[in-house]
Amino acid sequence: MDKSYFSIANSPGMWAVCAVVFVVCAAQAIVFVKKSYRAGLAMNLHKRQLHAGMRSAAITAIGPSCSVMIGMMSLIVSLGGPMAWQRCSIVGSVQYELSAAQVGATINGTVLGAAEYGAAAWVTSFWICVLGAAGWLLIVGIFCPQFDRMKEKLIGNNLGKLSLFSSSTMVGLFAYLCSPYAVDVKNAPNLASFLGGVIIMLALSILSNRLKNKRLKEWSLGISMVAGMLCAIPFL
Amino acid sequence: MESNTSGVYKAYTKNIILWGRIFMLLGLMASLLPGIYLAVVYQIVPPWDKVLQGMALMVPFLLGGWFVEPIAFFPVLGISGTYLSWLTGNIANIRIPVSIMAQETGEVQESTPEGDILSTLGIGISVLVTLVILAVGAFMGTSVISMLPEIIQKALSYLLPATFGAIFAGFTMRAPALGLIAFVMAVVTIVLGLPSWLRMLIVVFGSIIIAFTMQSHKSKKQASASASK
Repeated sequence: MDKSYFSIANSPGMWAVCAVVFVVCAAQAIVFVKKSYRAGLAMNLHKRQLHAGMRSAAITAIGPSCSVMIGMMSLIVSLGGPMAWQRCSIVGSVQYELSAAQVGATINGTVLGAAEYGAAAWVTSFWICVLGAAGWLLIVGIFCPQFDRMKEKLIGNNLGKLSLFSSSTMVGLFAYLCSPYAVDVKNAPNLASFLGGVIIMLALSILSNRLKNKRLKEWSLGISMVAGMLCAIPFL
Repeated sequence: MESNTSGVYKAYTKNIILWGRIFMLLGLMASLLPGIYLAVVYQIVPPWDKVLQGMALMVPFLLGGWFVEPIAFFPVLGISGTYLSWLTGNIANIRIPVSIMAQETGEVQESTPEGDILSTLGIGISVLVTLVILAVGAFMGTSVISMLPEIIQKALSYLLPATFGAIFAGFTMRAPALGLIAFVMAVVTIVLGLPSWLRMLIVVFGSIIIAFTMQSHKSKKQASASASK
């Protein structure tokens, strides 16, 4: 069994070079948070509003982040801790990294997790993961201001139109994202979680409107995510 | 007062573009580092012809996504959210939900400069939360998972459908007809077996076009109704 690469994959040097992605991403988040916080105050937003937004974002992010962390474990087995950590901390999703890593294995005549998956396949997986994800970084890095100009040309600055634009985008995006779960009726836990999320969100929205409860309205998404997920449990 | 707000926001956006570009470049370089390190220190280089073969397999699937995905998410994320989200990933499952939550609890209107500020704050904080949780997971390995109750571990892998379903339901409440049409379009594109980037293109841009058509139809009706009065 050629697992000799594993001592390199988990060496202190690898931890150090893989940690750089963590540092860059954290630095960007801190810089952007600082800038938007300052701009928010200058735009007469109240500190209370900014803090409430930050708090709810932090709380909402915990569940999905844990879910990604559990997914990362399947990458750790093949890529080693540091590299799996690096790949999950930067653009791409666990599913993308897994399939890119699998392509690297297949091209070398093996599969992830097989005894023959050695150093050559490992490093091929890495480069395919990185180069595939580089596309997003490059496109956004180069063209992001153009997206904005495109939007301005199409929609202008009318608030009603802008809001219709973003809410119809949201409807389209999430119809696209959730439809596979609705169609795949054989996967009962997924289907239960999807239906749970939909029904609980509808119920909470109607209820919070009836009761005119602002708190409930604000948290209805967070509650629906977790409660919907719990609907999957009876079907496991 | 109004011009002051928009002046601040304009300067902020200009500054964000500069920093966004810098961080995208830094992120790209940082992601290459382990490969360079392995090559220099251990002489572990991949068989480059195989990397090329692999990329030849991947690129047809990725190419559409590289362009379509950032554009499709842009109306929701805005400039700052786009830079933050596309450096760190996990957009539909983490960044969008927290953007919605931050704007709700911050009591600002979507699609306004104030909405963008709250969205950016929320996404930025969520990036830090994700990074810390992943770091803990990577350092502690599988032992951290065994600290979670087994039922929660299992359930967490089903968080995604509930998240997508809840967000879809929330926005469909505002425009039920559009939501239903979008959903039918999405299912039809699955049945037709289209590649995912093309499905995304059709469903997202289809929804936008239909929403605007419905809107202009409605306002025309109103206009003709008030004219006939």
